[in-house]
Amino acid sequence: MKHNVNKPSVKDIDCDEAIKRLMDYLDDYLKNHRKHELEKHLATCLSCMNRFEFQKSLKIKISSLADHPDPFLANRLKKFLGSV
Amino acid sequence: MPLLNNKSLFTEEVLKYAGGLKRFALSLCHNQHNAEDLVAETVLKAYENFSALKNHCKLKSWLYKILYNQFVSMNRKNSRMKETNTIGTGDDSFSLFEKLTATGIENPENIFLQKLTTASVQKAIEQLPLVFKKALVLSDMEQFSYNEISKILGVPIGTVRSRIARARRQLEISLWHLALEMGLSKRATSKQPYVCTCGKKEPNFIHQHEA
Repeated sequence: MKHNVNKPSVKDIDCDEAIKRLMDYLDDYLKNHRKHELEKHLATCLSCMNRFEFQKSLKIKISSLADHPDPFLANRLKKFLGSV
Repeated sequence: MPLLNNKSLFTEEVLKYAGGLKRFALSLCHNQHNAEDLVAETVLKAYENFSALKNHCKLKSWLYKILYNQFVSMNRKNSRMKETNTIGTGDDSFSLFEKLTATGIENPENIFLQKLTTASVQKAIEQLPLVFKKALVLSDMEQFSYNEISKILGVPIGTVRSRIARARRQLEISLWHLALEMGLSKRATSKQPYVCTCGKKEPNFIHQHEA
């Protein structure tokens, strides 16, 4: 049986550590092994998973503020650029 | 890439980001008229200098950087620009999720999210100190990475990360006040222990998972 000595095993982390990593995970700022450790924890900890889902939903709410375009802005800028 | 050597193509490309630029400008200026002026000046400056843009894939972050630099130079003498991290730093350990789950109400976080309107979120973001707000807007509304925000604002990545974290904490404090107004506070002061999936109760939600 071959063992990949370069591949680190996925460590167990506690809830405190998982909570610290949640937002970095949502911001896609975690390195792969730290991401996998968090995912492993979330798969077994309902409390942290609920917290994760909440933070994710809140982040989506904030990003949804970008879904309301200004329909007149493009025309105003087009006119402005046409005049220069 | 010859794309931006043509004025109409330049206009077409830049207009894709006009809405985002206006949102970012509004978060800086708090005024529709000034925000639109800032966007117009940004677009003009970009048009005049687009030959300086080496990698056209970075057009979006380049435009935001121009807009931010324009804003800084326009407001250099304005006291509003004297940023400080000490403005309303609040409670570093605050967690809206913990406050909500401590109410003892069933599924309080889902009830809160259902009741939370985009207008309320917008208002809470507008009330954030500028130093935190601009980092949060670039991250969560304009979808820039920490690295891109660092280049736009001209601050180290660690500073960006810390400002976003503090912006979120302050935002959560504002949203908690909103939750109280929604009536989600029945047993907010009672200390409800969290129960982990393994069955252990921990008063402060600190639980060591065994290997």
